[in-house]
Amino acid sequence: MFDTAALAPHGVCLLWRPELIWLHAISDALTGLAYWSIPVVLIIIARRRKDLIFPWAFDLFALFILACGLTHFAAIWTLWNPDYGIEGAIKGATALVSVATAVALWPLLPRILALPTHDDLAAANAALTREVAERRDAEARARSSEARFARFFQHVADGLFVVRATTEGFEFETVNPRFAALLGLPVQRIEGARPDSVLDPAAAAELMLALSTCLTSGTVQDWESGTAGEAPDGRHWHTVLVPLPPENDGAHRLLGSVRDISALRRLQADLTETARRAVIGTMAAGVAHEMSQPVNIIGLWAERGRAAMQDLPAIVRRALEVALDQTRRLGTLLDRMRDLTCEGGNGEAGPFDAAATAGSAVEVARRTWSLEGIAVEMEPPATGPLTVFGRSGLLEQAMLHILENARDAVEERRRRDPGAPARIAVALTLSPDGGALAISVRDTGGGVPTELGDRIFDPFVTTKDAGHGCGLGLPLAAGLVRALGGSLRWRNHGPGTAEAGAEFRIHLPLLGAQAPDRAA
Amino acid sequence: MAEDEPLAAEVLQEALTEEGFAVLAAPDGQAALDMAEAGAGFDLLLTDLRMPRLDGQELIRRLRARRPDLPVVVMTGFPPPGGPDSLHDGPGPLRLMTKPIHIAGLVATLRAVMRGD
Repeated sequence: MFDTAALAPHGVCLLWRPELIWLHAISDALTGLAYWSIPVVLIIIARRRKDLIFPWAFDLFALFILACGLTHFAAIWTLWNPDYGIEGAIKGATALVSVATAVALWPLLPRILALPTHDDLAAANAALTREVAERRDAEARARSSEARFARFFQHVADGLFVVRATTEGFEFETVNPRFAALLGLPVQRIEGARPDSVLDPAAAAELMLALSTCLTSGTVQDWESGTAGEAPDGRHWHTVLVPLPPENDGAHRLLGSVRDISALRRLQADLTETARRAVIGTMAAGVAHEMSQPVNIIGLWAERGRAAMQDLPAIVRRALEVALDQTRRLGTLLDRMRDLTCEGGNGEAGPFDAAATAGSAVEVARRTWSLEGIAVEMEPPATGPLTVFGRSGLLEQAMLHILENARDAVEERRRRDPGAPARIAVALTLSPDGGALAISVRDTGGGVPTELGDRIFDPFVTTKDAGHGCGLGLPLAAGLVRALGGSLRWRNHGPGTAEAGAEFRIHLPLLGAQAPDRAA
Repeated sequence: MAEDEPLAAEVLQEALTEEGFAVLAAPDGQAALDMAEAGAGFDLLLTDLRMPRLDGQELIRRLRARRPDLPVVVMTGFPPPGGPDSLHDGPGPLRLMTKPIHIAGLVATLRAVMRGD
């Protein structure tokens, strides 16, 4: 087949006409060169673009075109050399490659058609860009919201805390500065601590019970607590507990808020007390007025009867004297009942030295009762003048009423137990912040039943023996102290000892000092 | 004397007369004012505060409108919250006595006020 002996070159068919020979030779050369340059481009693309979907198809195309090019060079060769066997073999190889390429290409058609177009990719790309932007936005919003919440948590007026429930119990995970301030402890001391290690036992027990209820029921707990009846030192709290949704770590957390409502409760108590006092005052005034008329008439007639007849029988004279004495006693009582309603009193209000005023009241009592064997002592205050605003006469009167009450208690105890000590001690102390003054009057009268509580300041509530006091001294003292903007409290001291007795404390705001509640 | 309690008025009139005072008794403020307007002569007003028709405070005001220096002694079961100063309505002397009144104390007060003490 490759024997060329009997064959003539292709140029013979063209009769060696130069224009035909060169037309064929040049055309085939250009076509062949062009064919050969295409696979180079295809192979470079296939090698450089790693993302091509069907790289082997490029290789096949390259081989196919290379083969096609080779057939054109073979045609140039056979113009002068009759190697038709070799040319045929080349064509045969080209045919194989062409058929293989065509066979491989057809099944690819649907897959190539299914490839996303440039527009599809652009749209997908745009969608992707949008999604990325949205996510960034959401992240920024979340960060900003978290920053807002953090600032709120740090600076809100209420105490806030997050409690984590662990297998060992509850512990404070995070607390805000306000909560720490309410507890009077640094934040670091509370975070990580169990409630019973930072709260007093009663408050801790109350909180842990509420935490358990909140956790098991999943409901909001809302309650008020506090030390009852201890104002102005008493504290009242409003606490709310909210279960939080579980986080990634699976731990249960509760958010709590605490508000100090002491001032509100105190205000409410004061308002109630003021209203109650007003009712009592009005009633006392009415009773005093209505009683004063018959008492006046009895007294006038008894006095008139005694004066008119000098030689009365002894029993009638005695009867008139008893009636007169008793009207005098009633007169004193009526005077005090009238005083209950006039808390303002007379005289000019102004700044005065409470220590000096208390001292002069003590001096009056000391002189009056020294003969009765009752010692009245006053420790001089350590500091300079203790200036209070109001009418000094009110404080002096209040002190005298309290001292008189102490005297009555001491005397009554001595009637039962003649060896009992008879001492009344007055002391002046400043509150820790220096904003208020406490004047304490302690007696050795054995004390008062504690169940009386603040009822001791109600009119006609008395523990004294019949005929030894009408039970108006302390209500008057309380009214006078209130008129000075202060409060009067009492408690027993030294129970079971020889010195046992009651202590009455006048709390007065000092002039120029900030009120203690507002200092915080 | 303006006093609405007849039993008090009766015993006061007797006792004061015995002490040498001439007493014109009126059962309330209006009656006292009527007497004064009818030309009754008197040197001092002794009055209760709470009375029907015309109370003591108003009686003092009206009488002192004509006689600013009229001496006044007030007997009351319930003194005014403002004290005796709130009753003053002229330059004349004014004393406040709370019930129950003692005759001896009242007589001493009346004499002191009349003397101008």
